[in-house]
Amino acid sequence: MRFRRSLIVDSCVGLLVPTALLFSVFLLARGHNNPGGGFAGGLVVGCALVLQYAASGDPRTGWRVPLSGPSFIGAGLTLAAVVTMLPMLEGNLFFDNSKVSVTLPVFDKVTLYSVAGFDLGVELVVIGVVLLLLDTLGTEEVSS
Amino acid sequence: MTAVFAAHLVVAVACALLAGRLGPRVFLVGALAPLAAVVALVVVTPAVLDGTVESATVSWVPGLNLDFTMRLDAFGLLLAWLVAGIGVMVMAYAWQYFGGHGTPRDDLGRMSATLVLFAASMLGLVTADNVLALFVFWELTTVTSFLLIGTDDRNGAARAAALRAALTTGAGGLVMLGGLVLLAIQADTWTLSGLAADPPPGSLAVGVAAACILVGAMTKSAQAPFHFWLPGAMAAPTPISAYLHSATMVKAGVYLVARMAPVLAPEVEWWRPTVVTVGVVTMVIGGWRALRQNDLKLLLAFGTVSQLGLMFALFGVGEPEATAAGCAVLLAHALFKSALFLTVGIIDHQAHTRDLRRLRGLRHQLPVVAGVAAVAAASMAGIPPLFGFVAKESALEAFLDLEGSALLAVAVIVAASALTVAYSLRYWWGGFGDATDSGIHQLVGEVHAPAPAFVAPAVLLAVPTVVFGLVPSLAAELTGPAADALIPGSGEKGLSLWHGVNVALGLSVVAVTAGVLMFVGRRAVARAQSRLPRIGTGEGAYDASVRGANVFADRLTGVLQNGSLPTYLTVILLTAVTLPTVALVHGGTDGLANLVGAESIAQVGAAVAACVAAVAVAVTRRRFAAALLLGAVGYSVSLLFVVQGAPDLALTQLLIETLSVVLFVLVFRHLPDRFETHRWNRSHSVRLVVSVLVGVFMTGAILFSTSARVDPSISENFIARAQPEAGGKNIVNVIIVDFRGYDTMGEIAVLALAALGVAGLVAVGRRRPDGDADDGDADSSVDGVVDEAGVTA
Repeated sequence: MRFRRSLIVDSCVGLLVPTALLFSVFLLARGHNNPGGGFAGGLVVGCALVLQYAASGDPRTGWRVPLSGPSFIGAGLTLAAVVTMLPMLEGNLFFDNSKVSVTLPVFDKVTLYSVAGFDLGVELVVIGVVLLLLDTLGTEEVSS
Repeated sequence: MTAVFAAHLVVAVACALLAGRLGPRVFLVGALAPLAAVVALVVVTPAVLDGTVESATVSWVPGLNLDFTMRLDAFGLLLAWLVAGIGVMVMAYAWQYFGGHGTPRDDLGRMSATLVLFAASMLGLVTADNVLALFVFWELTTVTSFLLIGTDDRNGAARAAALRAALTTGAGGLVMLGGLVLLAIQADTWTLSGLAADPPPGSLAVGVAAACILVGAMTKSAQAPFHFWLPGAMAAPTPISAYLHSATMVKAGVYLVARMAPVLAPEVEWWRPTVVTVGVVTMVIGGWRALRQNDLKLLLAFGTVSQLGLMFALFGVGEPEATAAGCAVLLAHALFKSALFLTVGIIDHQAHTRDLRRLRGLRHQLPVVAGVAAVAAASMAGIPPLFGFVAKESALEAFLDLEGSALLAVAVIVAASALTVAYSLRYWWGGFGDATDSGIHQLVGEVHAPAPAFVAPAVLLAVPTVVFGLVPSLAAELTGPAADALIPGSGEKGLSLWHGVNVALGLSVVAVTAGVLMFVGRRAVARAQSRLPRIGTGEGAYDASVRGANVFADRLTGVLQNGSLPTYLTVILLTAVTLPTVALVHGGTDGLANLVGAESIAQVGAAVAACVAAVAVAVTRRRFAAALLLGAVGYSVSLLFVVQGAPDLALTQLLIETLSVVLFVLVFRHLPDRFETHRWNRSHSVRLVVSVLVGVFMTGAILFSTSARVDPSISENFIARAQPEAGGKNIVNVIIVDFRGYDTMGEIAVLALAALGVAGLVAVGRRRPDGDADDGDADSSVDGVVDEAGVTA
């Protein structure tokens, strides 16, 4: 049986998924000072993937490069590991927090912390895990 | 100093990458690494011999006292020269050894890279000052040795030998770590130099530490009863045996004893007799078993065991004269034994056998190799004017000058020396002489002359044996300061070829005469040996303990992992209930006084919703509904989080619940729509009791634990530090990514592994032809077949 798609669901998901992705970026960016963070952000993206999957049977609908779950996981773990080692370059300890302050035109003075990169790594791992589980558990369509 | 290590790492990577293109020549690239070390050593040697100490520190985990404090004193220098110098020779030799005939090997890249990494680890070992760094390098040599012994990984025997070596030395290394930590705590210093400068006073703890360190050293340096792994390690290609298992790695235990003896021997009264006994017993066992071997390489391996025993005994004494002699023996042994191994490799390469019963008359066909072997073997046997003689004389004198019951040790050493002479002769005569007593074996025919480049490293290694023998003061330039670095003042006596007619010379004559007699009467000796029970086979104990561990693990797994999910859950839940309940009863139940009921109507609403949904989960007959209701429980809880002002938790909980419901549904579609209904039976009763217990316990535990706080909450501390130290206002996030960042790192790794594991299990389940009826997979495989066409959407 082929997967039956619904126009209404498709359209709603088409609106929801970009919003969810934006929301995830928002959560990640504000995580250090307000509720949010990489884990929650990753879960939001995961939910978006689930929506996409529910609507079209493929979580990667519309992707130019269909990256696999493990590649997200690998990228996330690598990023987290690299970021935690960065402070060692300055002679600080492993997992120290280093920060950079930059002045941007719109946002005024922005202080970036190296742990933000770690948070992004967490987010990537969560996304990868959801994607991998959807791929493995969701590949067989139920014939109904 | 750091640059040398960096060079090794770069060369190792280069070796791995270039092996495909260069073939055996990749070892010449590999030789660049020890060559860099040689250059660095040439630069620093004059200063270090004058007493300057080169040092460098790279901090790793200061909180654990783990710094890479590197310190090159004269004793470290002696070993570093062996590692680097013999490293260059062995690499050059390997280029020829793996070249020539036969199909090209595909493992040269791995082998050369590992060999370079081993050289780096060994350099680290002999220059590490921090005891934890010493341990790290120690185990790195174990790992690289494991990989190198198992080079021929399609050969089961080689794999078993590699594992045996790794388990034995690895276990010893762990015991040693315990000893080092204990000693460091007692002495309140984490450096070897600190220990040497200010030894801890003797106590029970120091005694235990000494015992642990000794076990580590004994396993690494193949001392009885742990000597059995070294002959097995001969499964490695000969260049590796020559480098790791005769010249460098097996000296790590001797090195440790040398460093520790001045610290421990004066304080721990059993140290000296024990170490000397271990050493001389090993000498005899090694020599005795070497005499039985027909494989030239095994013969040399048992010889190495024997010589290591001598070094162990010498350094273990912890007295100036013995230490100086130990340094000389160490240098002499590295030189002659590596040369001997290289000659065996040449024989093996040219004649395709190492069985001395099949070799005949090679001295005519390989005259240079035979010459080198004769010089090296004579040095091993302690024949003047070679360096081996000088070293052995100084060893005998050192023991003769010792007070106490050293005479017994001297007698045993002389006996072992006689064995050494006998197996040295057996080696040379077996390899290069006329095969006299073997009519039954197929003899090798004509052999081709080896390329000059193949023989050159062996010749170059034999040269110092002669030079240092004729001019011992040259060797003393190196060994004297080395001994001084261990025990100040011990290197003053120097080395000399001719001590005059004294007891030591007499004992040497006795040993050589007895050895020659044993060789001449070798048939009688062999008969006697075969009639005596085999001594010192530690293999049996090793095999028994490994087998025992496997059997025990099997039985334990059979009991604990019986495959029944309900049993697992019951055990886990009952444990979770029992242990804290004991603590609760024991600790008293006061503190319930300040319990509050609900604070707002919203709390009550959320709690009631959670309860209703939970009951509904238990009652419903449909899986799908159960999954949704379980989600509803989670949503209610997240509502409670919102009410309590924890938006972060609420958000995460909400998202997690959503995702889990979806994943539940994805799995459940392969299962029947409804739960199976069974008649009520005993297992249901058990489950009912367990669930009631868990419910009551959880409620009680939470009530008590929330009202039983004695100390201020750790969150005060986190709240105070979040903004100034981590620059974040969201304390939850700061805890996750900063304060407890290590935890998070571990958690995401576990999350990733769990997901990959699930993916793997599903893939395996899908590959099964038709599902065994143990769970829902039966359905999934059927669906898999049906839906192959439907996935395209």
